Amino acid sequence: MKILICIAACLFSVAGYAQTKLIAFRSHSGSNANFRTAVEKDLFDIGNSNFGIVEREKVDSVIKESKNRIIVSRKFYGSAKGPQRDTLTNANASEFFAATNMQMLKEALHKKYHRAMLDNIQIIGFGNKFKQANSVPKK
Amino acid sequence: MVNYFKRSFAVFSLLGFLFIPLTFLEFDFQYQITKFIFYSPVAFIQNQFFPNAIKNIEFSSDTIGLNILLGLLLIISLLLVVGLQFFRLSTERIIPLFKLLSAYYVAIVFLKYGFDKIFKRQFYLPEPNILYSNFGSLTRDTLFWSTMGTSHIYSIVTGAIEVLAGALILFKRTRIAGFFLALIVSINILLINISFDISVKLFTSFLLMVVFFNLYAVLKTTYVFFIQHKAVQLPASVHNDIPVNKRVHAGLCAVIVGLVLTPAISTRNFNDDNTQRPLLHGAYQIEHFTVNNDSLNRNDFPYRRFFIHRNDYIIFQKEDETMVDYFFEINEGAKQMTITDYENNKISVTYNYNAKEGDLQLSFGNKAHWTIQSKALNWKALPALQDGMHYTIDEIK
Repeated sequence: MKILICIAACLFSVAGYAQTKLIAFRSHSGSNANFRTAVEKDLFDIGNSNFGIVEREKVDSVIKESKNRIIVSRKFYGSAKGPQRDTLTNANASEFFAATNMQMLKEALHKKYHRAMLDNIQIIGFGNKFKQANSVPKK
Repeated sequence: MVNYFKRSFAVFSLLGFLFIPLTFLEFDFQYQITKFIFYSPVAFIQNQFFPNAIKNIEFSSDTIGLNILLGLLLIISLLLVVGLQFFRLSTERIIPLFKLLSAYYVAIVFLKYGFDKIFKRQFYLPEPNILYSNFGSLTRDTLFWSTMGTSHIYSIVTGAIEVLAGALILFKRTRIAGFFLALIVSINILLINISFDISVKLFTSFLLMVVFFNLYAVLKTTYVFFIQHKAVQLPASVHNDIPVNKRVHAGLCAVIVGLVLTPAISTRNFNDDNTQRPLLHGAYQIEHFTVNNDSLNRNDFPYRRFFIHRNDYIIFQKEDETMVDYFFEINEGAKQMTITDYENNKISVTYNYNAKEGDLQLSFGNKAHWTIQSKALNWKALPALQDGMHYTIDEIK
């Protein structure tokens, strides 16, 4: 019975009555005429809100694996999306490799992942100058 | 017969917990399972009887698809209980199992949304385009949501009440009290959803029924105590629950609290109002509008303002105050935006932004070569967003 309860508990989902697709859509002044199109074609961010859960993105870690390879991991809260890992190289993200301190690195992150929260990122493989800063870069 | 319906409702609720597809913290197995089992029958029924329903079935809140799903779960539960009784299989534990699992389920719901209110994630700060919208042009649900978003105190207090209900439900000793609080909150929320046409009526109704069913056994006792003023004791059935090992319970509570609080703790962001908005976010007054290098008179501007929404929408406000919205993707390095409409037509826009002066210039790559010069508006200074409270009207000046 205990095992069953544990298994059942793991299957629990969280429900809510917060932001809905329609409210999220209307928050950017979307018209009724476009709502059905957005939902049926899963356009833009329409899939990010349902039963009240709003997706939020966070950069979890930035790992410098080599002189020409940086891995950025992102998490999505309140979403079906699993963690995502992006591989950055000098060719597609030179500003990351040009960064010489945490502030520059965070500015590069903010430019590339402008919707993501950048607090408390795990930085691995960079030098001592990349100590964690508490504040996000000011615009 | 009454027992049959009670047990059927209990099974229906358990199936609802399993199959109403919600996403939470990075996994969507529940949606995949629901889709695997129910997509075909729901699609068949929808296509046969509801030709105007939204075609892609995601069982989203307040869709025909979700209604059909719950209808199927109800039928399955009615048949399941009959089947169990026909084969002389015990149904005695159905209701105690429902009570146990529904306690955790309702607790998670109330804790999750209570903390979302406290952290200002549910009723978020209204976006600039909403703040500059004509009151009468907004739908009731948007009006309600936006109004709630203007008060942090109200969001905290209502959130704290929901957190309290969830916490009380988690523990056996206070479970009944927690459910009574949850009942009042759920009735209020359903009333709000109906009155302001907020599209979560079905699920709120489901939740309210689950809460009510948990209190069904004590309603008579409550009436006798409060109305007839007689000394009573809770019925024995209230205590006839499935026992849970203390360590298992403690573990489940820890998991629930962890699930609920992880987003806020991991980002150390406990007030979404202070979350940094994306580059260019805000409201802009159009000051110059050129078409093919010809400057337009102010009266001839197609738009008077535009707004940048935190979810990457650009919204233009016409002279008659109607709004037109577009999605955009930004390349900050190249100072370019790609604006897309709902027909997937795209336009490339080059921007020039002077944050210090609040000047934003947009140059459109359309045939008419629009160029817009605009000035940032101080939308945060609008009356709707001012925090002040006045104890007396004498203070109003």
